[in-house]
Amino acid sequence: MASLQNKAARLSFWRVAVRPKYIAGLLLALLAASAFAWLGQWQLERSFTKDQTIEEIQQSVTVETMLDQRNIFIVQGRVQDQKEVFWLIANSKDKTGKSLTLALGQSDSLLKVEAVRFELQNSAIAQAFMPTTGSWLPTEAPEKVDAEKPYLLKSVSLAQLLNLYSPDKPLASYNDFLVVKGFAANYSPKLADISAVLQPAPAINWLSAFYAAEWVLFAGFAVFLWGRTVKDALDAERLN
Amino acid sequence: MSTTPELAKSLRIYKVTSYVTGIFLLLISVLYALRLTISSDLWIAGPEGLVALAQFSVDPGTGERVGFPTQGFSFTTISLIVHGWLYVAYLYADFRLWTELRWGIGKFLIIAAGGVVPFLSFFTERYFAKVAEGWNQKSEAK
Repeated sequence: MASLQNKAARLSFWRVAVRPKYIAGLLLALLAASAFAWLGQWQLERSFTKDQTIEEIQQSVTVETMLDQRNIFIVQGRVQDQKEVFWLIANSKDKTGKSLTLALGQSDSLLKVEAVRFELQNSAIAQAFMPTTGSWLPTEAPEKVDAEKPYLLKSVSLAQLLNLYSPDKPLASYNDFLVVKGFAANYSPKLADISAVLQPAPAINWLSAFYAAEWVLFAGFAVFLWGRTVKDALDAERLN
Repeated sequence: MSTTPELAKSLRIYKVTSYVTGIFLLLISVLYALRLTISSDLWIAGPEGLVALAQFSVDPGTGERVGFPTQGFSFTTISLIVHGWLYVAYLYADFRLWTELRWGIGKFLIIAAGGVVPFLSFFTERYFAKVAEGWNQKSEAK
């Protein structure tokens, strides 16, 4: 008896559902559901980040720069080919006078990097604009510097560096720094180019992961809502 | 009609979720504005104290925000996640009330929009709670 009633209910549910109005409604619900599912997929892709090499991150660019010999620093604690290396970085300016921080080269010996820093500070390299080729990398969080070696930094933070370059007045700067290609080879055999990945990005982007789950939920809900409207129409007709 | 206690419950859930979601939406609007204007997240338990602004930059290759402190966590991100789930609860409340009152799909969508358009939920809550209460009284009188 109950199953008979169920069967009757199911039959009439579909009889209402196939009316043009509810077919159109179903199409709309499915459209919304696919849009939500697509958004969920998009968020899911954003949830996981993978390590990249500099080449993968961006193609190289060339900027005309003039090196600022007074502002050359060393960054410790970088990683390249599974070993700790030191970077030589320097301020430079482009033709508009904007500050551009350059990561020039690296070595696993601090003494070598310090020697190249000293050479660069005191060399009579031409004060001219030179085409500099490299890839962009984003600025990092500032870290405290030890007082004995103020030139030895622990991260490449443009905010911190700009204060060091120009303590008194604000300096216009690029938002990213440039990892230079070929400088080390051209200038000093003591250094090698920087080529490794620097920023181990967090493995999971939780916001995106949760948003993905919510979009899937909404997609299911869109179809469920359509079913509810059909059922409502059915109930209303039965009452009358 | 004997739906009154059920309806009263749905209405209560709707009002509560509506206020909580609405207030959270205003909070994340402010936090998101900070992201867009001064490229900063509200940072909890970082190196600069319990609550501080942490400036970030956008990685030109991946489009990700980077340069955050290594300790602590972003209150901005946490708030966005919490609002996401509050919104799911709000939609559930919307659905309950909507089913209870046999409203058309338009009303459902307007209430749903209240959870994502700043300030809208306060207006929809005022209006639709009144409509629902009116309906409730009418059915009690019957």
